[in-house]
Amino acid sequence: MSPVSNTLRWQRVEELFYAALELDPAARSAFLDATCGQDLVLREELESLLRSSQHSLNFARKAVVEVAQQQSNAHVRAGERIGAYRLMKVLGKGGMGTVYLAARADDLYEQRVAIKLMHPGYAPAESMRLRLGEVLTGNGEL
Amino acid sequence: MAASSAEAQLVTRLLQEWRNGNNHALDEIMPIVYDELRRMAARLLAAEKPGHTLPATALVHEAYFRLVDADIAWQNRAHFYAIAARVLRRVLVEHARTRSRQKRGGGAEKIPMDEAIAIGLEASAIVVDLDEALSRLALRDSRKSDIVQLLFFGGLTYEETAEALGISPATVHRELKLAKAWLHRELAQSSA
Repeated sequence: MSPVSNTLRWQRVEELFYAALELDPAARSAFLDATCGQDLVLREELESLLRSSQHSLNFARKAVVEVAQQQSNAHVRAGERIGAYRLMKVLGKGGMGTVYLAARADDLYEQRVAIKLMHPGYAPAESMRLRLGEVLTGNGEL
Repeated sequence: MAASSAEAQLVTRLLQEWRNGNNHALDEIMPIVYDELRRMAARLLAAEKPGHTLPATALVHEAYFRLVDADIAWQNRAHFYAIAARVLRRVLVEHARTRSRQKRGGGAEKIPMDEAIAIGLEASAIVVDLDEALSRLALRDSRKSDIVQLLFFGGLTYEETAEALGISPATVHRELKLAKAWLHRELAQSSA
């Protein structure tokens, strides 16, 4: 189908979907008989969408929230302090850990370093992650 | 948006100045961008348990640095929300993909949705499927895909979503019905 007729077709689906939703479910079949006529593909499209519209999509929304919670828990957070250093931003990620740009948090001297922190899967406990964190260089360049 | 129109205008002006190469505007706008992202992420996390918000620092930082590093021709505040929701979506989907791969191991095999829910595989797999379905929806009807993206991944309200897209809240409600039905059908197929 050409893009234009695809668009027209989708507009038709939309228009009939909204109209059918307004109707009592018992009246929808007659409505589709009258509007779709011999176009069985259109009718099947509308029937399946009307069926789906009875289900909630809340499970998907909840899944997004759950992943957001996982994401927030899984990473050592930029802005957090690790020893004398404050994590500033993520420089890169590998299979085992994340490399952060960090700066001295105690203002003793101006120093930027790269700190590699292992992914939680490799080191579940916070203390473990700290121990595995290593200062790579002294000038912030990798 | 929730903010006053004066603030909205300020944000729009700063975004445009930044776009025109005024780095001073960047300094002014970054704290605002950061606060907006934090607000969006916090609302996203609070969606299921109002009043009980986890610190979304990791999500905010990840999204923030991607926004700052991206070379975006900012238009206005509404445009910012659209981009921010897209960035939040990308961060979360990448996280879900990694997790999904780890959990499933090498031999990925589709299992029914309720079984997946029961064994705790669900969330990341659903988010990956939702992302793919949203991309397919965008090919057909980008506005409906944008509505879902702003609501589900951007944590915006219906009113803010309407404003970000320049349409009425009634249109958001109406189009969301079809978008949800379409997505539900796609997700049911991908989990079957």
